[in-house]
Amino acid sequence: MQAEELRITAHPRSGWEAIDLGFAMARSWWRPIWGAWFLIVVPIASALIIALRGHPWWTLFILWWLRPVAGRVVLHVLGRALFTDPPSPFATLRAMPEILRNGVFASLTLLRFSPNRCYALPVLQLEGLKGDARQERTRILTRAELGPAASLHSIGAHVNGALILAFLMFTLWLAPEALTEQVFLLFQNWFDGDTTAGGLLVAFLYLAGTSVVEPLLIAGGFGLYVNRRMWLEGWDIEIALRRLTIRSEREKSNRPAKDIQRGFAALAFLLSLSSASVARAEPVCVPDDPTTAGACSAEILAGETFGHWEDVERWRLREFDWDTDTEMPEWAFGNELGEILAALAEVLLWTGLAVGLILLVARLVREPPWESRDPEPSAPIALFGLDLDPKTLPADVIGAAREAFAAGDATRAISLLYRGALILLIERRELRIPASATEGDCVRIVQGTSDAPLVDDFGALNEAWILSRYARAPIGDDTFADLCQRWAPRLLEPAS
Amino acid sequence: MNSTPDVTQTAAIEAAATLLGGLRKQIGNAIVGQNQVIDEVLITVAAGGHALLEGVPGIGKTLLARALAKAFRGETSRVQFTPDLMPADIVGHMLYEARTGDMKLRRGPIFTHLFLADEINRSPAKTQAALLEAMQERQVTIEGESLALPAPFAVLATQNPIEMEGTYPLPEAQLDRFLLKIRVGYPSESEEVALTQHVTRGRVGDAFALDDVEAVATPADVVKIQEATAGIYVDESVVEYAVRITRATRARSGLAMGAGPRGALALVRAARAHALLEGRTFVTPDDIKNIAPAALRHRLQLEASADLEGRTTDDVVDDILAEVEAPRE
Repeated sequence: MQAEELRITAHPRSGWEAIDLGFAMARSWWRPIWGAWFLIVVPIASALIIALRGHPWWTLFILWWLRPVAGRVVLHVLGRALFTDPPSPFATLRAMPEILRNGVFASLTLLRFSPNRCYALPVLQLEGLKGDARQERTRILTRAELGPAASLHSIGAHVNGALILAFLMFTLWLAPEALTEQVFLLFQNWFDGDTTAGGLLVAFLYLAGTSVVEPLLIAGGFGLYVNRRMWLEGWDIEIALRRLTIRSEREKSNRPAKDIQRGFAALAFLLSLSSASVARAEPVCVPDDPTTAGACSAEILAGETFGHWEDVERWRLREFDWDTDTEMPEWAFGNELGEILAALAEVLLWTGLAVGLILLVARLVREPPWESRDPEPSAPIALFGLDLDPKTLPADVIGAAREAFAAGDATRAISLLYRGALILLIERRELRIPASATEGDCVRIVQGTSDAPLVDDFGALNEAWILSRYARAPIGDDTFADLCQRWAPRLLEPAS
Repeated sequence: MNSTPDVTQTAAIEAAATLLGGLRKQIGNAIVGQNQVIDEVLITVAAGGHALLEGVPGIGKTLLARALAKAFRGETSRVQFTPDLMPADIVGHMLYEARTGDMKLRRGPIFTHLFLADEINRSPAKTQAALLEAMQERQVTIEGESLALPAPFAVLATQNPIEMEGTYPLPEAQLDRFLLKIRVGYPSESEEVALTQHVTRGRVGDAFALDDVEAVATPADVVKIQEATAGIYVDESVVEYAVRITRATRARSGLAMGAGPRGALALVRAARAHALLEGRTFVTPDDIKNIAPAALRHRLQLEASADLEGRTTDDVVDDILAEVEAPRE
């Protein structure tokens, strides 16, 4: 890498200016960037979408997960374009093995959820460092400008979402009126996850949004990376010196001493700019020939600028040494008040802990977590006008029903049998019958017991009850006798 | 409430139930699946009401109306509602005949047994209102002259479930006129396979043929079915149950508007037809419960907050049915 070959103006920038620089680079080299994107990323992503068309949510997840890999194509173009002419899309395609050589696994695992993944990606891909060296390099580079890097990702995610929605609305607006409903239904069914076409459409909309945002995110991160290196490595100073030297060589290639003289002058000038304590009026030693350059250097280094020592005192947090720092400060615990306060704090601490434990135990006893929080539906007190209190039921239900039937009150007789059956189901079978249950609901609940004889007997009783209750129809002697015979064993059975 | 049916009535009801079962079977020959939709349409016709069918295009709503009309030898007409449709395009108009110099009445497509109003919410309120008199009074007025509609008469209106531009939501007063709002969904996979085989086997084009539908009744029979339905016995406790359900929709959290008294009327009328379809001469609370979603969903208006939460009127009806106690003495 030759700093003087930079295609951008080298000077230190703030984080946001660096992101803007990245966007400017993306705008400037948009053809090779998006050309490579559409040549390499879009076909592969499209093939992926089609291959996974039956799994719309997985498709979106995988597309999202692989974004750092796609971004490498953009970074390759930017990295080349920064120093030489940008590579053509086909040259980028040929360079794919090189692009995917370094750090793919790390960018898909460790760094995938990092808010500064675009900022750190150049370290993985362009510098080719591995292991501890890479971590150390990333740590140094990302020590600053983390805020703008995280904000870049956050803004990128929001813009991406907004773009997908915008594309969605655009699709709906552009769809012919006759097809609008079908398109809308595609989206609706996609949420239900049962339509391949809807999943495909949404995945392609996501790809479209990503195609706009991801190159810009990578460019912004690259801008931050370049700017950080400018700060750390003084690219601007290096470039200024190199240009000075080159110009000098061109002008006076036969006067090497003058070159050195100018180099020293430039060095002294740059140092004077970067040092606040420089005495601008101090005369600068200028060597006349190479033999005096060493002496002149020594004179400059012996000057006030380099020999200046200053004592500065400020507060800073120091490491706590458990071996030596065992004594408490005098002002805190060296007197009686300190000891009282410490004892009080200890009492409060233990008391608080005890109270907390008691409350926790009380809570566990009152509401055990292993028990369902849903309140048990209370047994209905009445269904269809029938009193379901067991105490109101005669001791001999069958006998009472037969008596009522013999007396000509068939409705009461059937009502007694039905009431007895319901109480039996609720009390002994512990079936949950809500107050809103109709006769049909009761039949369905009983069918849930899978007790075939019970289902059959309850069905017959239910039918008789409905006829008696809602049709006011008479119940035949045979029907009633059959019902008594069916239910007698159950209703006469003593409650356990 | 009417008294329990006597033997004569019972015989008529049983005959009507047989006819209704025959109609159901014939429609089932043309429509694959959609059994609940078929039942609810038959309930609407048997109860002498009108139905609003909601569903995406192409799921057999027109075919259903045609199959029903053919099954009872009735007439049917279909009008595609558009923004420029005028009331006269539906009810008819007086036409000056130059040859005789007289005004001649030209009857509109509403003069039929089954009127299929396709995409009714595509037309402005004025045109929708032209249906109001027909639906409520079973007559139309042209140039001051009231003309009775044929019996039986039923409007089967369709609307798309998606809010779209260029639609005019039906006013509450008109929605209330529909006995049931029937949701027509997509058929199941097996039903769709059977449907595709049925339509594509040896046929040119994709038109649905009604060859398999036989006429098993006449318009007069349908009127008898309607009369029999009116004779179905409804116990007072069942009526109270219907009223309790309807009243529970009012002052209900999440609802901006509940069902009016017409809601309870619709519940009982539709429950009668449901009982007839089940072959019973009386209504049970289960009839009410079964038909409640279709009878109430279009009479309820969700609050904006509930709408935003994704709740539907069906959810509210389900909640109400789970809370309202079954009939009591």
